[in-house]
Amino acid sequence: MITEVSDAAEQNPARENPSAMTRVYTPASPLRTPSAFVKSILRDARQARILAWRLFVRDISAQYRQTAIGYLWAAVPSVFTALVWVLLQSVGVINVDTGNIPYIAYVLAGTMFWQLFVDALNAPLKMLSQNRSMLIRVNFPTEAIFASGLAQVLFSFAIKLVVLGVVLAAVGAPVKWTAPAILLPAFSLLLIGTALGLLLAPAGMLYQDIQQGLNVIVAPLMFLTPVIYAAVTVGVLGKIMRANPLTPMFEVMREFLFGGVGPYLAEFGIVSAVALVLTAVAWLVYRLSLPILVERFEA
Amino acid sequence: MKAAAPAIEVDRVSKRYSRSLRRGLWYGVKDIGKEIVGRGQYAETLRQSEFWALRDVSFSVGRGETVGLIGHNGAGKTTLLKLINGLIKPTTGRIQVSGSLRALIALDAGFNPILTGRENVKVASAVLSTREREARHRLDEIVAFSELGDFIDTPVRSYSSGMLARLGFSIAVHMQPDILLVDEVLAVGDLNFAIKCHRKIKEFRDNGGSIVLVSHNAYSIRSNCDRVVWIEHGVVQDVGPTAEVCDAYEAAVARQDASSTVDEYSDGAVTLTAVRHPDVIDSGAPFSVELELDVTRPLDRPIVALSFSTQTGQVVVGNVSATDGADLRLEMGRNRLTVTYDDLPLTRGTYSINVVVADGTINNQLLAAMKKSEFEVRVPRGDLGAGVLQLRPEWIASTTSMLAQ
Repeated sequence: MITEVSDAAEQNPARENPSAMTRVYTPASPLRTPSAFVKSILRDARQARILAWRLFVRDISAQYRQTAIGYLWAAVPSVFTALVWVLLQSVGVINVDTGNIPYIAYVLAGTMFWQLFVDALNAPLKMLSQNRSMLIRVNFPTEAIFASGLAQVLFSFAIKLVVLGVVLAAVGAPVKWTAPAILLPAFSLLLIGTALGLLLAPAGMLYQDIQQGLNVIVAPLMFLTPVIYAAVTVGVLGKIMRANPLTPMFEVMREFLFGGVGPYLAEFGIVSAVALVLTAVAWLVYRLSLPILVERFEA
Repeated sequence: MKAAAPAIEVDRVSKRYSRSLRRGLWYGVKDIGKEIVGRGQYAETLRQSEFWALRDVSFSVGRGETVGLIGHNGAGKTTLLKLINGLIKPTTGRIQVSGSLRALIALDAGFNPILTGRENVKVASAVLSTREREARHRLDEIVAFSELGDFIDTPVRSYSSGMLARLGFSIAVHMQPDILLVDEVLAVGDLNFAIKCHRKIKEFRDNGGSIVLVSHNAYSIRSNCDRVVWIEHGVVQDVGPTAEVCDAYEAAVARQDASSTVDEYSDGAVTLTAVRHPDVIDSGAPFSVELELDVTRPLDRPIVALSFSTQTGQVVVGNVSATDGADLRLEMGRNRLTVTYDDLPLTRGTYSINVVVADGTINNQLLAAMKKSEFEVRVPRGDLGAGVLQLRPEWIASTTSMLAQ
């Protein structure tokens, strides 16, 4: 948003004094002055923290205020999906071999992690659309709305984890001591979802095709990912699953949760690192796009 | 005081927009691409379906100065505010803003209808200010200033638009920026609150704050601004002292409106061939209108109505010969009829002259000539009086000394 920042603080020690700041807006791309660009991003990120918290409190309290079961809604979609698969398994429509792990525990962990990915994927575009009226009128560190979106995804995931814990205990699933480490693949899924979501957000704000396309792709993608059954290793589906960057996340999650050694740990590391880099790139692209998006918002 | 840069400096700024939604979206994608490859947005030409929303606009706002922006809807005023606020990028030129800046563009930006007023104040102050301690300290002040009372703890969706505006204004003025951008918001709320807002803005100016004020309300501009920038179709028409530019703007508005509609009806018996009067008078001066009427048959005791209306069509003076006790007779051929007012205490503005001639009853119209001619009323520069009439009351102050009691 800020094309070029010359913090007068560079000559002047009054860094905290906003009056000392001069902003210059020109048609030039901020990439022409990379160090000022990065500095402005970091400064906005710092300033965004308090606002992110406020927006998070606002959105969370508004989201569930008019509901009877409140925060439990965060877990309902995953539980419901899991129950459908349990039903299909019990009547023999599908036959998933999960060894000594109760199928409900297996599938619920899968659907909950899948929901985490989908929420993270949708969050950037959703947050931008929700805060459109603020974006076209107020100049503020917009990173805060993404931070708030991420916090909401995490909050809802935390509730899912509690529900998952209760279910695992209730059905006596053989949970390993490494279970707390499932937070690692959870973090990676969050990162992949955010990176893709943020990368698509600018185009998605211009063309609604992006959101429509996402909705179309996400549902079948679940079947190409080991969410409700273990990774397939043979045939076309095996090849697809092997190439699917989400596969290691779910496999590693189940290894941490229920034990068993899979071949996916290295891939898990690589995908996570790529997701991290991708998030940084998506962030830069978003920063460059925002002023151009704002001028089209009212069109 | 050391010599400082102006609070805002706008230097040969242009901005192009697309009229077509679909093309606009595609240009959006291309423009994002240009940003990413480092080429930026600079351009001197228009692409298909584009127009210049602003073209070569230059002006500056000094520290402690209040500058008004006037112009018709779509003249580019809001685009200019967005550019100054750094929300969008210019196509050409350069804008420099020195100091912290807050925009009062839409007061309810970011209010969530389900949350209470108090919760929304917390969010809004976090959006507008990055220092939490400052925001927390101001919360009570904001709530008190808004005068919402117990409503502050009810959901915002039950607020009237006036209440929303009060809350929004309270938030913005309590953030104490160096520069305030104000877009058409002072007209909201009841009179008491409007006065409070004006006082707050005056306080802000007295403390050295700079303001850019956008308004259609000439009164608001005249009573608040040191200088005015008049923009039309994205181009600066005039920059200068408030009274001068406002006068020029209003005259232009009047000219445009006058040329648009002359509404005349005649059944042939009576024709209005001329209306003679001074073009410009000072408010309160005598005024007379001479009507020249061609009549094809003699009319005994016709009803002649003469009225003056504002540019918005409101009739401010209306006289009818019959009820004024005038005993008229129009002979066949050319007649002259003079109507004289000893004083015409109208406020500044341009007024249209309307004439109706009827026979027997006012409904039996032989002639109706609306906006047939115009005259301008002038008021001394710097007079802040408002309303339709420019009256000269006597002001007397009397004091009851506390000590004497």
